[in-house]
Amino acid sequence: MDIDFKGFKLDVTPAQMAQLIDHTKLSAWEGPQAIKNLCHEAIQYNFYSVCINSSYVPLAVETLKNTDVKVCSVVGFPLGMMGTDSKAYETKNVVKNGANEVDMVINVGMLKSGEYKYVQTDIESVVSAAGKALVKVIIETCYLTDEEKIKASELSKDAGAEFVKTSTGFGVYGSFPYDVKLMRKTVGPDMGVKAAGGIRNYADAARVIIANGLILDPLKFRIGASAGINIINNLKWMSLSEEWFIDEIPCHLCPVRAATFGKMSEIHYSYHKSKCHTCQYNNYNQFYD
Amino acid sequence: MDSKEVCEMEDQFLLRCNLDTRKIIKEEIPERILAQYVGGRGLGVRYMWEEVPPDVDPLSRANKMIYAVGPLTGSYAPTSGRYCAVSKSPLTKTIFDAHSGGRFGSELKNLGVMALIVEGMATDLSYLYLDAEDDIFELRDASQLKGKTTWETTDILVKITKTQARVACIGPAGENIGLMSCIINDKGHALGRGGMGAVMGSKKLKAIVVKGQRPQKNEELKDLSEQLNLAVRKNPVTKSALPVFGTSVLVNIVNELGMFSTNNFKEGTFDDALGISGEKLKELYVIKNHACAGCRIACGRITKVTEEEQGKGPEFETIWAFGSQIGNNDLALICKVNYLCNQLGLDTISTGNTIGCAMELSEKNRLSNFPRFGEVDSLKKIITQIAYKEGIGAELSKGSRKFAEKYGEPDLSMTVKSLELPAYDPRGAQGQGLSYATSNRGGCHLRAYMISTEVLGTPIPMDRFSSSGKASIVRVFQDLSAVVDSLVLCRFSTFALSAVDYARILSVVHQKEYSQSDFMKIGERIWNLERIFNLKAGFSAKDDSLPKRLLEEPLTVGGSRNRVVKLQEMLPEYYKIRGWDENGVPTKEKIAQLELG
Repeated sequence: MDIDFKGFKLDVTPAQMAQLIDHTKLSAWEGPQAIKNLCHEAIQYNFYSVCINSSYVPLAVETLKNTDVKVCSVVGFPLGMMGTDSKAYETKNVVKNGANEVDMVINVGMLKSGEYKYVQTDIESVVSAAGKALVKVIIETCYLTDEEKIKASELSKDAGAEFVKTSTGFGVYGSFPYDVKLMRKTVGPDMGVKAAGGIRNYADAARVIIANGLILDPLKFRIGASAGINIINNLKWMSLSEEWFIDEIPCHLCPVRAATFGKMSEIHYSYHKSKCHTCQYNNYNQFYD
Repeated sequence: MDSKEVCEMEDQFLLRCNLDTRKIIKEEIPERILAQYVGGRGLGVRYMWEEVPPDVDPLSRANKMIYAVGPLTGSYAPTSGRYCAVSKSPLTKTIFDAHSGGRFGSELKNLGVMALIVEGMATDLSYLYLDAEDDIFELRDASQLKGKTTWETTDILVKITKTQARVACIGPAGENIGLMSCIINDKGHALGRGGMGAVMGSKKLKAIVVKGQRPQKNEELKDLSEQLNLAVRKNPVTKSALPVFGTSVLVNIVNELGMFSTNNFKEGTFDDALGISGEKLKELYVIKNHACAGCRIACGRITKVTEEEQGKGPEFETIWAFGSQIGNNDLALICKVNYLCNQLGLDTISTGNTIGCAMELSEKNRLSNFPRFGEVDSLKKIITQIAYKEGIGAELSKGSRKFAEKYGEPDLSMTVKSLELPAYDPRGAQGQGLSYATSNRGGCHLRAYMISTEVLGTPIPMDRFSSSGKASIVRVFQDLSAVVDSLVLCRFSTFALSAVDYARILSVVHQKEYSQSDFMKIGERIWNLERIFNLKAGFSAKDDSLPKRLLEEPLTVGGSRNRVVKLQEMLPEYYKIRGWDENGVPTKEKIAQLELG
């Protein structure tokens, strides 16, 4: 595996970092007050957007009225297994309610079965329904082979979406720098890439920014995180010392190591492990105290 | 704005009380000193450096005691109701600052001063009466208070002066110049560590009574304080953990990690931790929460064991010192001896730690007729003997180091620079080990509270077993703590606020822009000045160490088993990061950079 495991130090200000973050709250138990709080935090920290479930779009739009913070709604979330019409309807609805951005989930099963036409049409219908709203396509990398990640990214680009996004945060694992790098390479410099899932602190954020080629334009790169405030606060402390974080071993940054038997198909699990056995960093793959 | 304007605007004066001449005068504090040292600890250290030779005998007439508040004391700012005392410690022989909450600090500030310097030595037991309301500033006879406990002293002084007056005083332990004696204000808050009570005792100063005038509130500060209070209310530690369980919420957490020092640091796990935990304290004895002046956190506890035995505390460190450190699982007894120490004017950490040392000596048959771990029937008697220097108490009152040396086992003294270590076993947190070893006042967890990052995960979680990067972070925490202590804000505020926030506070206070690096440089200056004071007092790099046990004896059970502190992996790097030479001496360049030349 080609893992860049050294380095996470960036020349980025808290303000620049905040503008890359979709401040996210998607758990099933979150009520209206939690969403209001999320919006107020986004205003305070000047995050690019709030990323929420579709039912809370009207509330978020109202709370963020007269601010620069955008409203991003997930669609077909979190499994992406509903019909195309349903996704299109949900998209129309959230856009009508004021959402500026839509993060849709592809039909992973169809992709893995080679039904590429279906997947592209699925995305196209959402792009069409979104109108001027920006569409990000969640390909859920944890369930895909590298070849499938490349294919899903190409289909997203061909379908007219603005972004391709790694994960829902509800899968077996979230985003890894490895996947971000692969997706950026696939879609080229003009399309957006969003890393989401498992980005909990400054070092996690910095690693995906580096993997994406240090692009600090929110229309080309985004981080989806519920830990946005922590990331920004980490940055304040980073200015006092750069020693808070240490370089990880490559396995800690490798999606293969994160594969979990029983939470993914046996074939897919075997795919991960086969990569591990031939990896140049295989000697790192041991359990530490 | 020249210095005169600043002083007049902010009432930034100090009172100087000479106990020899009985004169009390008011002096201006130069603006340069306020800009470089802020207040509190920094101001005290600066005046000590200017006025007291570092090699002074701490119990002599030439030593001074500086009580100081900060620019925010008595304001609306979060955790600002505190004060500190700076002197040369008779226990550690280092420069020393002790801090306390309650209401005394705010009242001291209401006198219109930033500091009170006490110098000389009274001929007879006296107390200072400082009343800005009636413009009475005088030294009074305290012969009627001789031998009184801190609670009795406070009650009497309030009765004979003003009901709204605030009292800081010593008990029998301080009067008897015990090296573990402390100063108690508001009947339960302590300038706890370093034998500050003995310095007062040596000067025959039983108490200080203050009554200020109602302060004029600064509206600009009020707005800023509201924003900062919001941050305190949002942080999970200051919003929930501390208000609900107090500091003793840490008992179970630290024990689970195998860092709850047990039986004089022989182990890091106490089997009966649950029975002396914050949760159990709340269930059995807490009757209400208690807050210092202006504080929204309210981490303090009022407890009641019987109708006759109730009071403030105990907090985490006291529960440890009279709990696992001596093998005691009787929480009611811990509460009772906590009240007793407050009344007698004894530092609970040093007292419990030293008794634990004696118990180990007893187990090793180096000391006869002394209880062993878990044998606590005579605990109250031993504590009382320490305060009055009676029997074995006379030796114990000198602290763990001298006691262990006397009985031929110096390695059993769990101290750094003769200050008894607190609860956290650093074998489970490498950075905390370096923090203890390099502390300017000896074995103290608060110079650089690495538990915050290594255990509580704030502001950024670090691997507690790794020594990598710890030197740099210890330095950050030491400098930050030094300047927060000079603002005289409670250390708990650092859970919610960053250096950027503090710099913003100072900018408003001084009406001058401070960047984060300006702010941290103040802390670095204070830290280096303390270091230079100690070097001139005779300390050297060899004193930047830990008890042999922590360096060589791995813990055998619990969450930190098989660990020792890897001090030598961190210490050279720490010196280098500090800009000190390999002997731990600040270089000429560093001294010039910090304007300490």
